[in-house]
Amino acid sequence: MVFTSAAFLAGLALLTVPWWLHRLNAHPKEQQPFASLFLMRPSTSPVNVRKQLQHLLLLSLRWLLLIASCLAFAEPALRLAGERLAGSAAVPHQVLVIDRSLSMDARVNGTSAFELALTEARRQLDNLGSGQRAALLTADAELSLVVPLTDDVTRLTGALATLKPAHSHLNAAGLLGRIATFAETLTAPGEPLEAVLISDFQASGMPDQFNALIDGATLATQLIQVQVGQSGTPPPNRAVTDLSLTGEAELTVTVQSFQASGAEVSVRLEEDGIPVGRESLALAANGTAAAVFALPRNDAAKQRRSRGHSWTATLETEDVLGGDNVRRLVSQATDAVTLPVLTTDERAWAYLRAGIQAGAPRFEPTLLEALPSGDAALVIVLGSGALTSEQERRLQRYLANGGKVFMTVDGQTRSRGSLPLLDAPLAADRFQQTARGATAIDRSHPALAGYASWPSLTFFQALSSDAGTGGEVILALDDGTPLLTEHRIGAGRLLLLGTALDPAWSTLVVRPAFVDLLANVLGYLAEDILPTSAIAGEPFAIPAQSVQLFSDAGERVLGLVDTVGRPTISLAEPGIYQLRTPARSRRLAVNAPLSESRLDPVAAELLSEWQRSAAAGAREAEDLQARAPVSAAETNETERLLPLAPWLLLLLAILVFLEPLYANLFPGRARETRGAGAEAS
Amino acid sequence: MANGTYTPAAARGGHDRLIEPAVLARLNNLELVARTAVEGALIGLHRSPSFGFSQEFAEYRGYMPGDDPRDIDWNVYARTDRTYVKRYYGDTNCRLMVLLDSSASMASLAEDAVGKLDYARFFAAALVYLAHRQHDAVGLLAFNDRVHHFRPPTGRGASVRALYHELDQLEADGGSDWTLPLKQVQGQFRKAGLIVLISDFYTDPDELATVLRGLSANGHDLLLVHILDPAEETPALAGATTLRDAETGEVMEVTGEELKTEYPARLAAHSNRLKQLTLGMGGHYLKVVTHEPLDRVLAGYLHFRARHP
Repeated sequence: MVFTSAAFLAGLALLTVPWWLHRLNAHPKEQQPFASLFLMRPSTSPVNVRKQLQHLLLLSLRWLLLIASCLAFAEPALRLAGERLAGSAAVPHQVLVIDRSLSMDARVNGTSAFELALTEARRQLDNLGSGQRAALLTADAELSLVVPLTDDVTRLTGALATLKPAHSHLNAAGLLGRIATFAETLTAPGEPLEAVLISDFQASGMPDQFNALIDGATLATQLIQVQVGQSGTPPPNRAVTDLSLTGEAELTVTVQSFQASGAEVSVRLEEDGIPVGRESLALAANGTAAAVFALPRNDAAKQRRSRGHSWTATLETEDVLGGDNVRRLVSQATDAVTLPVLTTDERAWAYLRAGIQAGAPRFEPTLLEALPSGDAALVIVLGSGALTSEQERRLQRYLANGGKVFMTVDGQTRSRGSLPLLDAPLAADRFQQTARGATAIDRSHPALAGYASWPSLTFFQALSSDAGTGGEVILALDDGTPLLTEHRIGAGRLLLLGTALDPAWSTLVVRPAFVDLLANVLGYLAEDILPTSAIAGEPFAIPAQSVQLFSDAGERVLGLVDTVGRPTISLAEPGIYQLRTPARSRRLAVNAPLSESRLDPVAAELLSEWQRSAAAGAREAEDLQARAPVSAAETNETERLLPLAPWLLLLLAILVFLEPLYANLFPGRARETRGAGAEAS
Repeated sequence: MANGTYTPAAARGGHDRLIEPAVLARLNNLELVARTAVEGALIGLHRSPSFGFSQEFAEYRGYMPGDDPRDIDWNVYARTDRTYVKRYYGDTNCRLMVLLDSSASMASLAEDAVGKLDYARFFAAALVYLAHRQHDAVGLLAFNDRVHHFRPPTGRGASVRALYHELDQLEADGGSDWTLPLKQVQGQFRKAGLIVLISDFYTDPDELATVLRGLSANGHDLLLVHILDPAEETPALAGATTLRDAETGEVMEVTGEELKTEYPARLAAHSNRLKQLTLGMGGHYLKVVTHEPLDRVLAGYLHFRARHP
């Protein structure tokens, strides 16, 4: 609303009505002529003051009349606390959050930290008061609801018995904020809650900055630390921290000690489930040691290796935490991928072969005149102008069924006047005299990953469509002309390079960028850019539109429904998985997070400070919530609204009756009687 | 009526041909006003008035310098060759002198209403008309804080018309002082007659009585016409009010209670005191409110005089 709006001005005009009415009779200083005061006796109190007070009272009455009428029509309501809310304010409900990260599985003398946490949780449940409810959550890489808010202690206790520690990492940064946000979804707004976080509070889970611990902590949270072994002393632990190929037939296993004394440990290595060997290592206190395994060189092993390998290194010496004693590694299959290439341009064909050999040797380009009948990972078209109508038709069908095509233009495309497969007319060629540079438009695209040398390239000729092709521009010339675009056709994709693989068109083919570009484009289109390793509980990217995940035993872990449209996924359990896309299948090694292996608890002072700051933050949040207006939807459940309009209307009616009564009886009487006196005369 | 006051005819179920003061005020000619009022009053009486003056022959006496030559009885002179003048009973007792208060307090409180001065001049004119109709001498003394009009009693028509004119020219102004006019009347109006005092009498009754007793002692018959405005008699002002005195300009803040109860009681006591003092001096007291029809008031008075000459 602005001050010049008609409603505002009308309201102002309306406000002058009572003032005007008041002024009609407000003549407190007027003197009434009288024949003689001979028989009159003066008043002992000042009359003018009394009259002014009477007029002020009348004015107040009139203002009140107007305000009451405005308020009555505004239909205000008084927010009253509901009985349930008032009764429960003293006893907040509990949200039990149990840390089930890998470190909670640390076991000393037959008792794990997780079991201690469960015992503490049961004790909390036993202490629940009458009418008090509790919810059960677990926290590791993410918060999971086990039991929603309930007063059924039996259900809660039963749920505790089913819980087991996971293999993921718990990061304490923002944890209280996440718990508060989650807890808000469990109750009605305004219902009092408190959280109880039971954890071993590893130092490795703490953020670098303290503020991250209390970020978003709006819920009163009690921190309960459980610890196995001697208090203040980290339990001894060892872990396999690295597993890597250090040569064609050599694999190195690194073991780290997280204890104060050295020890002799034994490491076993398996290749594809077949034992490779066992090594003994002398592990120093808080030190690392590496064991080098020679991989089998027999023909069977080589044959297996061509399809991809998986290795598992196991620390055989027992320690307090078993989940970090195994580490896995996979290598991808080395089978060559045949790339059908359609072209009539010898020079472009030569540049393509050279580029693939240099940057993506796994791909074997094959010059074909027509599409192969079997499935192809992708098809390359060098010089789209040479495509026959039959080839174009078959390519469109291939694309519609999910195929991938990388296509360049050439002189024949210019002669043709349109872009094949897209059926888009070409724009006028503007690069006869002037060279142009290139600018990356979408640096996050996998085709441009790894380098930023596009400005060093020079383009002499390029073709593009005037009307636009509707594709996503990945690379453009410095005047905005699209150079590399991605088009989704049916279920497939087309990457179109708006220049030819010819030094007369650009310097691309004679620069290292060409090799990188080919490797990226072929890897992207062939869905070869898939992860080979991941950390349990942590998300990893899946560039393909949809993937399926199978365990090493062949059981489906995630289906298409679980992954379609999701840029990342995560796996809770370590192991070897098969990750399948419509075109490819890759192995994936999922290992336990190394940060969980270091079992040092957080310093007691830091924990105290965290507890104190969290409580202060919760109090601030409560104060803010108490002052903040609550929406009608929120108040419906827990609060009662008392409509004031009927009372205001009643007040209005009383005022309407009182106003003329008072105005006629007192301040306005003089005027009235003067008139009456004149009539009588 | 034995106590010297009268009740208006209307209150006694008198005639119904009453002339409102406002109607009289619309007549431009004061003599016409007087005649209208008097004739209306006489109709109500149904007989000749007894005004207190007489045309009855009393005696002859020898002419003395100063006597009006028109009073010489020429028939007696023809028979006796001596000059005698006729004497009537009324000649020695019935001269009318009207003392009219024209102070500012007599002004109208409402612009479009008949004020006390208007009513007073109507009443005075009616008396003058009535007296002149009976061939009695009438005089006028109008005053406020000074005497600004004085006309000794005379029975000549020209003088009476001049008197009407002077009455008509009166304006309410200034303060009021009873001392000067009464002393002047006492000094110049030695023969016994009827002295009519028309005023609102906002003065101390006892002080007034002191002066009036001198007149009464000289054999004058006194009539006090106490004129009040309705708004004066019963103030309609409600609540605390600031009042301004019409004569002195004095400003006074009064309470609603004062206006509602205390002042009317005080006014009633004041009127009673005036009445008591007047009656004590053998005079008559007439309280008139300006909304009362003049002819009714006049008829009531004449009726009263007829019974109490």
